[in-house]
Amino acid sequence: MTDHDLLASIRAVVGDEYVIAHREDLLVYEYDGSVDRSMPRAVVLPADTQQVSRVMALAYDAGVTVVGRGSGTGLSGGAITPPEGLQIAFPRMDRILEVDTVNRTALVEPGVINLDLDNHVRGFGMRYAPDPSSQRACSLGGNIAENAGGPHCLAYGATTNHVIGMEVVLEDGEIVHLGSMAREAAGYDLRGAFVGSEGTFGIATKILVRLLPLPETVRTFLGIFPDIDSACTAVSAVIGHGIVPAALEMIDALSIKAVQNVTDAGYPNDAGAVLLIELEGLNEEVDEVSGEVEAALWDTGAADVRVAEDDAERERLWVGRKTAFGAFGTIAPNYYLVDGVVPRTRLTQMLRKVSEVSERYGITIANVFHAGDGNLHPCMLFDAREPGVMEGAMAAAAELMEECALLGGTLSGEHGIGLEKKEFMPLVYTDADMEAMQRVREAFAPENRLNPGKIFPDGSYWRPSAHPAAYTAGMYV
Amino acid sequence: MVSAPDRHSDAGQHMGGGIDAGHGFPYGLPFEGSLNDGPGFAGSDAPAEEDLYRCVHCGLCLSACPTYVETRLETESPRGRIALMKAVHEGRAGISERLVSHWELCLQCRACEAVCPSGVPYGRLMEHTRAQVQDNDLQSRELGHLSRLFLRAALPHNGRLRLAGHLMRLYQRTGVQRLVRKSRVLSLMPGDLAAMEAQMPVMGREFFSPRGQVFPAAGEKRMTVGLLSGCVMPLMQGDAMRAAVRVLQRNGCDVAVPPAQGCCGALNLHAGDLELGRHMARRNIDAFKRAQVDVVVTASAGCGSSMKEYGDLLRDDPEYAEAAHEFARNTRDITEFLAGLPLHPPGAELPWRVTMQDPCHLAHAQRITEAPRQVLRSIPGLELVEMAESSLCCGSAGFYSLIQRDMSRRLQERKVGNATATGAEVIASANPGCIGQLEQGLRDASAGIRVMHVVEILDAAYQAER
Amino acid sequence: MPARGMTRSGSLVSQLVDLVGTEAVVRAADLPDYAIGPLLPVAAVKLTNPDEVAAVMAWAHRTGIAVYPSGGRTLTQLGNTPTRPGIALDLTGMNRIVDFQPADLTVIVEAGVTIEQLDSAVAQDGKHVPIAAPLGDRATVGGTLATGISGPMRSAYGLPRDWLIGISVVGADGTQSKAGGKVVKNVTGYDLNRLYTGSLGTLAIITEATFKLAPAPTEWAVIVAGFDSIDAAAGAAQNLQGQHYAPLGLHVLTGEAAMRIAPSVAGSALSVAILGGRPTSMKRRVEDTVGLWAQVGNTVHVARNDEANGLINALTDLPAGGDSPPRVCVRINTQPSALQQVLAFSRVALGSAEPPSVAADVGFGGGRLLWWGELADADPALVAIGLQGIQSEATSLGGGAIIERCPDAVKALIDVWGEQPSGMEIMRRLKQQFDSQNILNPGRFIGGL
Repeated sequence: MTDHDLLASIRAVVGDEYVIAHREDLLVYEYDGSVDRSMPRAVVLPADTQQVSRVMALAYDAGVTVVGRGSGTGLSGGAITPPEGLQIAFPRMDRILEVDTVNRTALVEPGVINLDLDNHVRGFGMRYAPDPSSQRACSLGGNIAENAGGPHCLAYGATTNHVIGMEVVLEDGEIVHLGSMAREAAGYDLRGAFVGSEGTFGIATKILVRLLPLPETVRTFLGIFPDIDSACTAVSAVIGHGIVPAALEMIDALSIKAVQNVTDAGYPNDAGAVLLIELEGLNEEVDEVSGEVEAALWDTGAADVRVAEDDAERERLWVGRKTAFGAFGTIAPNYYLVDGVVPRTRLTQMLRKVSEVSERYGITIANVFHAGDGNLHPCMLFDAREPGVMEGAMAAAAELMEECALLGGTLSGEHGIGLEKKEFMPLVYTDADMEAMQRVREAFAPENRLNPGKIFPDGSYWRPSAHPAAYTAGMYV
Repeated sequence: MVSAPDRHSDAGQHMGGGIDAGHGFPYGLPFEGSLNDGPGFAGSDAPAEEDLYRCVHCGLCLSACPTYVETRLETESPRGRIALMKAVHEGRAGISERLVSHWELCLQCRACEAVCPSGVPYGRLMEHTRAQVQDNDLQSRELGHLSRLFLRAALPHNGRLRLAGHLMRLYQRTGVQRLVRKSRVLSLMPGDLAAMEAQMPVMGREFFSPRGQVFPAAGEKRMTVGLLSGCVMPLMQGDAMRAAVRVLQRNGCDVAVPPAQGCCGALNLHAGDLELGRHMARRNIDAFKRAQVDVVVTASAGCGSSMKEYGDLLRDDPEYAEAAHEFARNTRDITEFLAGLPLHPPGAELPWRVTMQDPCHLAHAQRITEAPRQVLRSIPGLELVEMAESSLCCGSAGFYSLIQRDMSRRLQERKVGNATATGAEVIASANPGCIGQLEQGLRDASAGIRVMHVVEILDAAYQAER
Repeated sequence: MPARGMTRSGSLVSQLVDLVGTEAVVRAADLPDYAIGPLLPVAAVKLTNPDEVAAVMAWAHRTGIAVYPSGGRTLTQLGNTPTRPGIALDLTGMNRIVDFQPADLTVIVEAGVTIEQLDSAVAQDGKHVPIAAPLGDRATVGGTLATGISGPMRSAYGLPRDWLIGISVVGADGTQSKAGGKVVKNVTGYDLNRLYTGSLGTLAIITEATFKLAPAPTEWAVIVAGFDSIDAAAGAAQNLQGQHYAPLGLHVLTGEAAMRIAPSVAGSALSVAILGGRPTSMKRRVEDTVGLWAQVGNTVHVARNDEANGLINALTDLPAGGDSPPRVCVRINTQPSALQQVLAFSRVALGSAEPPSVAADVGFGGGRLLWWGELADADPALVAIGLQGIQSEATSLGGGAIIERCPDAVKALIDVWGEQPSGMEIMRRLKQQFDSQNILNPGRFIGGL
């Protein structure tokens, strides 16, 4: 089959208008939320599972690689398509097919936007818990591929904890069902292996997610600290006290400044760090735990502790948190962040390392992150147009990843490995560890036609291909 | 300027070798289409590199963009449009018909700008991009016509506009319109003309003309405000203008309507005619300076947003730069102004159920959403109900509704659906374009709802006091 | 592949002695302890570290002899009959708590650590790993993970896979590897934790596990209410579901199962709610639950703390049953909405045996069917047909049924895991990739894997 024939066959399946193949249009499908870019051969917009299956079968027969794309908000290059590969995107598969209030589940197509699902089910007194900061744009299909996280994963777990079953199309077009309608199923947990496989195992076309009932009470605190060390101590004190809040986020002085530059989130400008803490549950339990959290914050040196009075104030506090990364634009034109994780008790040590690296490389680093689960996002702020600065930032990022590994942590808490971090995998995994992982991929996709070249090191140290001034990554976490 | 070579020619290498090119097409046939059909950006009005690369393509703008929400296509998203600008900037693509079609589908509602965490000045980028498109004469046929006929020939000239307005009113009032529609003469005309006729705004009963009037404050005088009369608003919505004057008077303002003022230039700027826009800005700055007002107030969100950006527009004009900043600083949307006074609450009840439609240039460009609601809430007995997607563009967007009829119609239907779902009897807005678009949409949907400017509602409440 | 030395266990034993030393090789007299159904292992070794496990596996891989990993031997009934004899690999000697970090809320343990040992290690700090297995004093962490077994609070706490954040295994060829780590949030590489969990030791041998911890409730209560009919019990239980103070576990029990849990509470069916929390919230949890149930039930009994824990353990142990385990035990997996259909299984006859007790898990969905009565005169073929009927009925409800326990003669006639799922081909390829010689627990898993 020639190239022309393949595209013609695909057009016959999905309709002419649903194949994007003109180069000028493909310019917008070269990127995702990360730094890399590569132009796919064509983008296909299927309408249903059958079309996905037939398109993938055609691509398989032609020996062509396929990459799934959700909303293109990923930060590790997951949706970057190899040259001449085929991209499958899901704007037409964006229906919430079913909401089941008895079993508390929703059946959705992969193109459904995370926040749209959450808003929709709130009408039924339920919610979809995983809330990546890109939730108003990112899709469920992409969330599955990356096993997306978010602030509230501290209490409720990441995406994998909320997926019950999936309909999946494999590389050769075969349609299989993983998991089942029940929360437990016989056989290997293929569902569990699939979530977070970064699009290398198959493409999910229907997803059955678990919903949670809305809590009786939500209470949001802002703990204001003179410095980052005392804020870290407070994190340990809260967790050590046997309290796992719904969310526990830290924002350092530099980030506070950036946030307050663009919006009044109510963070005090003179604070060394603030903690954003949210408690959920029964009224009386939240009341009691609130007292303990406040006591823990005061005990560890808080300068002030504020409680959001109403929904509007809570919203404002969260808007600050969620705009932080973008707000760095007011400090420097470019930034690059590391998604490393350390055990919670190593936060202080890790942040000292961050500030040491910052000084040594002469690069400003801001910290705003999921403190409750040790998921850091040290964010290097720089101007890529200054010679040598970019190389410095990359070297600093490598050092920080090494430090995470040394402290018993890992490379990525929620963004995925993709193209961005694949060469760093040996920091945390041996060859044998990675061979075991590759075996699973062999079982799902023996021909390795789906999203190849991601996750595992192949000796090709990642280099940016984007315009130098565009050398920025890592929004929204 | 830094520019990168076209990296698509070296497939297999430009991913840092990270992707095995061996899995790609074995035939190596070329892509469809070419990237080199057309000129690049040039000159001082080209989109600035600093603005372009503030966009880190995070995608958070996607769900705010009306055209993306409708199509779910990256090409019709703010991020996609900026990527196309970057491609031209980097010399990887030329300005072509296809790129222009994606840029022109943009409503310039700037909803993306309001949610962009990186602060990308999208409105400015799009205006500068359209300027480049215009400089190269690559606009779509429709926009080209419109630009020549209306944006350049009529808008800058109040006299010509009024004349056209009189003719349109005559056409609509005398029954010729009915006759023409019935006779299907229009269907024999080129498609554009027939559609444009359908979109023709309904002319108000009475126009509102700037003749240098000063309307005195009622009661104790608080300050002197200058009122922008603008271009089409006094023709289409003279009633709203008069209501604006009355509520300002009622709140202790002398209201001056300086004679030499004209159109704010917003539509020209949006279409990319920066030079003409600057000319119109200078004229307004002069006019209001002579009138010696404390603040400049406008009842048109689109004008307000544009006037607040005069400083940026004229920053390289040595003669006007400072005056432009001053003017921008003193410009207020009328709802913003009233809410900030604070206004005298009406003494009588107005038992209406009202829903607020946020004009893009108020909510997104000026980030004002609370002020109009504050004004409405000050009216005793009025029930304010929120509609879904209240700040999603209604599809009016200046002359967009004439050029991108399909998309405009889709957004109009969406807006009317959201508004009627609230059960409100009045839709409040604060922009002439939106009001016209909503009225037309409601006519089509035969919904029994009125559309009023916020100040008209407030005025009605004051009238009820008597 | 036929294994060398299979017929002459003497030389096999000497090879094992060479590999791991005399001390580690189990005496022939103790081999019956390691029986899996009708199958006796030809030898058994009790190992104390992963290197020994690796050495034995490398050897087994070379020789092709089958290996049956063994923990507390509380669930050896689970799975199909092994296809060929082999050696038992006893991991209960690997029983160290490797690292407990209360402030990080993580704990690392060796696979042979028992559930009880794990519980008490972390309990002193007010924490728990909310996983559970029958006979927790013997059941090991490795076995719990391998079987994926869970307890009566799974509706609130999830399954063992939800608490596992890192794992070390020895592969079928003796290669040691790990997955995950010791941080609670991790998307670095594929999630093999979940793959190994519930794989019944057919992909690799688990040697060490890292769990995340949660603060344990400081107060426990179990509310037991008797009802005149199964429907009434089910209705009362479902009423609790929608409440903010919904319980950590919610069950409806019939027949013998009800008798074993609460003989003194009258009625033909029981509803059981497990409540946990802080004292402040426990007041409302208990009062409101009792309030709801007292209106419709016969007797409502509130058990607190020690008595409550006793009841939770009894519920956990039901399928294994201590001194008198059920003859047949079927685990039904369905959505919660299929409660009526699950309870209707209480009318299913199995051969000539009495209909089963049902222990329905109202919160999680599904539950267990338990037959304690004699099956002696029942024709195995008839029993097998009955069980397959249950399996296909459960499958048609969007779930499935796993025969956790049944007589060997019946087991020989069925796949205890039920109908092969849609991903069966992927599962076969997985097994091939991880254990190309088919030496790990051969034949015991789904579809004969």
